[in-house]
Amino acid sequence: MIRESALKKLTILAESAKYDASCASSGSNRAHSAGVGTTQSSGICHSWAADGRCISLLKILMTNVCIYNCTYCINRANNDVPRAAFTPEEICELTMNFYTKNYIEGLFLSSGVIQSPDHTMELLIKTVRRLREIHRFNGYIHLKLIPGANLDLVHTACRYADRVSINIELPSRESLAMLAPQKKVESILLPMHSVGETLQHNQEVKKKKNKPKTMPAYTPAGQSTQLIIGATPETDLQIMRLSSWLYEKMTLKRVYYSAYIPVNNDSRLPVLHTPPLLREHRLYQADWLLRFYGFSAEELLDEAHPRFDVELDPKICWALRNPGRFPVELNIADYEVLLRVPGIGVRSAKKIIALRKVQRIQYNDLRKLHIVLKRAQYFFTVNGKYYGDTPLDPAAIRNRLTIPYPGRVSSQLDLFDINRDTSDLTSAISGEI
Amino acid sequence: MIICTYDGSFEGLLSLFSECITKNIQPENIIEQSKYEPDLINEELFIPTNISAANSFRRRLRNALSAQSLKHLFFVFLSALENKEICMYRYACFGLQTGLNLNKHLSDKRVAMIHDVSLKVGCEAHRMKGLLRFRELDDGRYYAPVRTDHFVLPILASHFSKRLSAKQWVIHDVPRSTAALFDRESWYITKIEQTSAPELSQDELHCQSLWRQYFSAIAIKERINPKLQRQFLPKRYWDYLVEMQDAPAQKNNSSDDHLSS
Repeated sequence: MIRESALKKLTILAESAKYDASCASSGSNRAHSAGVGTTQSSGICHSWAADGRCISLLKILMTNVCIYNCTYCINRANNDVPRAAFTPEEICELTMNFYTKNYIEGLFLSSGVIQSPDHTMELLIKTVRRLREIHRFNGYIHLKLIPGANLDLVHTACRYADRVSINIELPSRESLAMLAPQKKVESILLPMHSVGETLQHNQEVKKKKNKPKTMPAYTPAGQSTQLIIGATPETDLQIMRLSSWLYEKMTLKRVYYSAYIPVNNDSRLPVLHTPPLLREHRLYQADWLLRFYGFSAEELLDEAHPRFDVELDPKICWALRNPGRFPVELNIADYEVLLRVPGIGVRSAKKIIALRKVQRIQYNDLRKLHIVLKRAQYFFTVNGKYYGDTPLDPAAIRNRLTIPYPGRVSSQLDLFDINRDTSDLTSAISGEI
Repeated sequence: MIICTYDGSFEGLLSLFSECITKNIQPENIIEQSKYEPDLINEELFIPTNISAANSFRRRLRNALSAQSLKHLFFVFLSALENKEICMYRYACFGLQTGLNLNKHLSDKRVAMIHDVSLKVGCEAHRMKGLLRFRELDDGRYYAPVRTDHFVLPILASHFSKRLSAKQWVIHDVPRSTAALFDRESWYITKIEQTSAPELSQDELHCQSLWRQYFSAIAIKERINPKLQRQFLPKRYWDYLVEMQDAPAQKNNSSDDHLSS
């Protein structure tokens, strides 16, 4: 068991890791083994920190020593901050202790770049390999890929991890060149692409008739990345285009958005008094629309409207720009069409489809299905009748939804309270991820 | 009017359902026998558990309704819902009329009720899979006290029997004085009366302080949001959460505040 010195190290290396937004422990299908632990495809949240973000994995750095000097990063080489490093065995013990007490779902291991990318990657692999082979840990591992590491090492890492990620951080080539001049875009995209190709290849092999009985594990929960929001001038449109490209071409499972928090003083960085949490929230909403609702980036934003609305969510904004598509008749609209009705989500749409198979839907049924009508009411008819409290006119609906009624508390503040974890929790429970 | 009673087990309840349906008995209500209080108007009919009748009725439900419906019934059985038995009975009877389409009748009260309660139980079980905390005892066993709205102990026991299959553990449902015991091979549920807090191992408090330290270090202070935190982590679950308790004043492993109920 690790002692007092470990307490200090843990503090330093957890605080250095906390800016990574990734929290998921879902999507893995690790087979049950004789070792310690299981994975759950829905993911499990184990606690929520004082900032309201979920804690699922033990999120730490191997070391916060770093040879790079990226402007936005708290661990950059020039910063005078306390430095520490764990040994592989220390990380294994900590993970096993926390896991068997059920504090965590697994390990999220990242690192500052020490000596060289290859050396760092080797150190990370050594640790997770030890965890899997000596401690026989069968729970969830999220491993960071180190930009610039040899591709063979990257593929080795994927054999031990449930998910891997390599953070793009800055959403354009220009911003990366300005704020992280030592990192090359290619050193991030190349490993991402190579892992994506291998995953796709494995998928194809699995589809074949003469597929092998067992296939070696290869990052079964796929890969993710993170973008920092608000440190550089990219618009929401640029960010959404990048995300859809990452989902389509790189076959990523998740893109995380992290509201920029100034940790360093540097003339190249903007001065922000509060992190752009609402913008981060809007990006997560839009991200959900890309992944689960069949929207494209160009539908949600265009050159004339390159930023998300402050007052209303991206889905209703799309609907208000396309009033001609509404109202839809709940008794005949296809699933894909229902999904585009503001206020109707994946579960509501499925419920409507299910009920329709046994009876014709009446307006009163909607409440029984727990469908929230606040936004939805303006966009559907039931048996030909429209139930909105104002006609389907974009300006009128916008007024209804944004101007507080007398006696109703404004919901503006609530917007800041709902961050991505809301949807994470919901999806985790319903298995929608 | 007839009040049907049973021994309180799921098999007992399935036996009762099977008996009522076969003999065309229309129960006014269904109650666990130990909770039944005789009155002047109603007549008690106790139906003993019959494992083979229960199993064949279970098969019938699975085939005629669906495995999903059977799961709903089991989850509602674990719930704290009053009159859950009669709700389950009405759902099952309706299901035998509708067959596989049962769960599509979402606007029918009998179905909506079962779905709502089943969802609540499922959510609490899922949440507790994350929030349960084991403590290492000085005899090497792992001990987790829990306090839940619904009786999710069987779901938790099944989950941890796979996850922590190399440990001997006890999950203690404190308010219900019930525990799930696992001996590295199988688990069973039993009544327990605990008079004193169990002795913790040497390393337990150290591990807890590491966890508390991690818990406070991982929060981003620019984003502190207690309201959001409580939204996900309601206070009623804090009693046994290591990270929500202050560290014991001194290292004295014979006392543990978290265990007193």
